[in-house]
Amino acid sequence: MMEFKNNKGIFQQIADNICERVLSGEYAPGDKVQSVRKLAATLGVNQNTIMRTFIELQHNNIVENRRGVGYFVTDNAPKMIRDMRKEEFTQEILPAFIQQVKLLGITREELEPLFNQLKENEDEDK
Amino acid sequence: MAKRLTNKPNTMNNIFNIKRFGKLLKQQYHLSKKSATLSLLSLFIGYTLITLFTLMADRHFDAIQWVPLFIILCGGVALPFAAYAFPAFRNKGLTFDFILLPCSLIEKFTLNLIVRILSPWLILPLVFYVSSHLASELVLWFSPDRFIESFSFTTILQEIGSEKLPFILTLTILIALIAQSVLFAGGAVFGKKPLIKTLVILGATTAVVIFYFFSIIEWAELFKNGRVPWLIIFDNKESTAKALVVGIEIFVLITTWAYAFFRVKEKQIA
Amino acid sequence: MINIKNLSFAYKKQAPLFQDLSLTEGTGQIIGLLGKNGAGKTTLLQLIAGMLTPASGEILVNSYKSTKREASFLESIYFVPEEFTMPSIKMWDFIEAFIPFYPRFDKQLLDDLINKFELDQQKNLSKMSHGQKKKFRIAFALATRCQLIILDEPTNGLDIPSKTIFRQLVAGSLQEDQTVIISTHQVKDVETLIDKIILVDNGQVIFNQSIIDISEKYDFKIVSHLPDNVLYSELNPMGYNIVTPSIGESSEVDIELLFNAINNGKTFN
Repeated sequence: MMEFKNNKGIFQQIADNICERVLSGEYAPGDKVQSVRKLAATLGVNQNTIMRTFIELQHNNIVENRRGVGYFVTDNAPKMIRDMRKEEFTQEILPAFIQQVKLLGITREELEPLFNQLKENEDEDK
Repeated sequence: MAKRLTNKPNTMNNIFNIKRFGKLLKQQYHLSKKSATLSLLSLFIGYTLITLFTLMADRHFDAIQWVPLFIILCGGVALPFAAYAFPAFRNKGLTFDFILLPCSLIEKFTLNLIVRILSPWLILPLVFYVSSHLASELVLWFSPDRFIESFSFTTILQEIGSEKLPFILTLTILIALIAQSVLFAGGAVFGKKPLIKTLVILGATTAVVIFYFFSIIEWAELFKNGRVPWLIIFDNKESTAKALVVGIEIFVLITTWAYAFFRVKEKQIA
Repeated sequence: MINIKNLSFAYKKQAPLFQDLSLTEGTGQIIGLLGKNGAGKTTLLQLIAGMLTPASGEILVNSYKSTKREASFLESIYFVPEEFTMPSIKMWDFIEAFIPFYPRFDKQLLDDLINKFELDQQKNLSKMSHGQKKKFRIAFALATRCQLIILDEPTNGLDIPSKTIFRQLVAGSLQEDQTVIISTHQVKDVETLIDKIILVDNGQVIFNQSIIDISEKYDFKIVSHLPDNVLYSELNPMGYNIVTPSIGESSEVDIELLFNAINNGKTFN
């Protein structure tokens, strides 16, 4: 069975979006994230849904709630997000990728760019 | 999650609140200042023209001659105006907004009562007064040899000058009010074309009542064999009779208003 | 906020529209009221607002009996009907005439909303297009800050950019103690806006759940072949639109698919 489309729930989509902005550096640790009302107004999304997003992000220690002030990006948010993404990659994307590789009979040469990137990453870590 | 709002129903405030009624009057001003000004202007022009033609038809015009003109011109405007009471009911969307306007029913009803029944008693005689004087002056300016007695309430009342005048006046005013109110009630009941519908129903009802009235007289043989109906006893006590007639009129008036009120209260979106 | 007990209603000389319908809703939600044509969405809204009198049962809004039409009840609700008539006066005059009746009215918000909808306060209301009139009524409704705002088919007659603005304005200008009910056929227009779906059919509420609950309990996806656990499916150029029980992750709710599934007799609970 091929799955063509399986969008995540809206609050999940918004959470991903905020995470993306943290990774890109738009939100640095300690920064205040846009308020629930502001986000609702810019996205046209229900405030309760946005609240739910923040609760989810708070649960994952990506943001913290300072009462009456708003939500702030935690110090280790980038690391948390990367860890989560890695987990998602190894559990979902990689198996699907391997399945495609198997299905299409992809060879080592054809994946040359991938290995180059892997090597680059390893060099960087050193 | 949300704090409970403590707007507990406050009975008196929900029946009639003078401040809110003031807002309603102000709203009326904002909504109809343009149309009201236009109507008054055309009324003034219309009254002046009609009065002009009437005056020109007669070389000698006594004060008393103003009476039929006054009654026709004022009645001819006041009655249809009352029939189109609750203008919002002519249209579904406006009916919707009428019902949902945050005012008590008594406030909305009182506003219509004042505008549609009472205000013509003030405005129409005033416009007529100004128009008639203007027309008289114009006619006299063109042909100074004519005789025109200006329109004046006091002159007219003095000329009638009967001792029964207060009673007759009360009776007339009450009958006029009842006529307005019946049409007003029609405005509360009917959506489109309230004037015609009310008149048709009124005509039909009158016909039926008259028919039964005569049938009863026939059947009871009230006037046969020199018998006298019980009503005649009032002939001997004029004050009682007068009180009774006025009492009945006031009763009819209030009943009509009450009927209109409950019809407005029950108004639904169809 | 809204408390409907055993409501029955029928129009004159017609079969009953609602029979023994009960519904309780709290504050702070945007409710999407859905139903087929003739299911009685508008009628239900009008009953809630006290425009119609039920044959039996009781409707309480903010602990007011709506049929009594008390002034303090009326000042806590604002209803934008699908079709309406605007007086032939300037928008400015309309605002002046109606603001005083709403104690929580926020004039600054109104000015802001009118600007965002690109409307002109100097213009005569009767000379505006239907869409413009509608945008004005919606802006006015939001600015009243009424505890209950009822929008009957609000996106009908709005152009595409206005629909986006509509969602942004509704989502951004509500306060915690406000409840909005939106009845609509254009589910896509309000999909992200509503957080609760109520579906009426055959005189009853046949479905009533929050979007978050639905998104956690069910998966909505497009697949090439039907899996075994499919609850409902519809043909689609790529294969099928399907609903299955959820396997952990939340998924974006396809309200149209859900609507069709329920109308085809599937039960979700």
